Amino acid sequence: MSNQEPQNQEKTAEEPALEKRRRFIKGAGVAAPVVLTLSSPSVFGALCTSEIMSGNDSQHTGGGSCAKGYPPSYWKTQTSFPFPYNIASPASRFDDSNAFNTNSANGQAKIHDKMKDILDNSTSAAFPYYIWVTALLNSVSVANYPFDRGDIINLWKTNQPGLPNNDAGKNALLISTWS
Amino acid sequence: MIKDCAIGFPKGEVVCFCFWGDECVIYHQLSGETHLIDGIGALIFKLISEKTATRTQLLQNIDSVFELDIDFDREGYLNNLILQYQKLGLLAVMENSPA
Repeated sequence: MSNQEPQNQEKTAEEPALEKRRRFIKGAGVAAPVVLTLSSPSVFGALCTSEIMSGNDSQHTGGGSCAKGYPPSYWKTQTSFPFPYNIASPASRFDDSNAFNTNSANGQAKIHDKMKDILDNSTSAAFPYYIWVTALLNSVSVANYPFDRGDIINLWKTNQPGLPNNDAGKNALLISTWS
Repeated sequence: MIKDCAIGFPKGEVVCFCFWGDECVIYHQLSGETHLIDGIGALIFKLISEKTATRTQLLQNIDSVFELDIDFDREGYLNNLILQYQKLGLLAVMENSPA
């Protein structure tokens, strides 16, 4: 399947009105990426958060449920990270404000390591920060991933209702979200 | 600060699009979803349908096409749109700007 060419190239009497309307954007507000989305059922089963939590790993056909993310080994071999994170220049770090924003001021470990280094050194780290980096990168790049970026960050910062409330449980939950 | 980056359609995935005036309809084969997009979002896809664009180029085009309130955070607005469209699989962001 290829990209289609624009269907309607002819100017009409409505074009000037459209031009005038299009040029004005009101205020700041919240960005609405799409006006309308139509979904068609997927024949490829994927797990949603509830199924992941219950440990149901069987494939099934569903109505367009969640998709699994990429494993740490995938992100380890990438030459770029998905927006808004960078492998280099400047390298994104675990404690960046758009990442986990860790802060040593309140007794919490700062974790200033680069995300790339965390992935590369995953086998030697005392705590598996690479799991969180992997989940974060998946959250901004995988369509229908069970968690969005805010979910991952909130899960790191506090316990979330209905989700594991200890490190081991949270780590296991995130691991279950990729193949 | 978010550095400049190149934005285009994702490789290896099938994205079909069509434009009607200032609206755009995009179909993403892997997810099976069809999106109706207008405004600045439609302009983004119009531009990257012609060639890969940098974030800076997108901002310049937004400035030239749209009249924005003086306190409108156009960079933040664009960044959020890029993030959302990337999440939907409709575009891809590369770290290095095109030559």
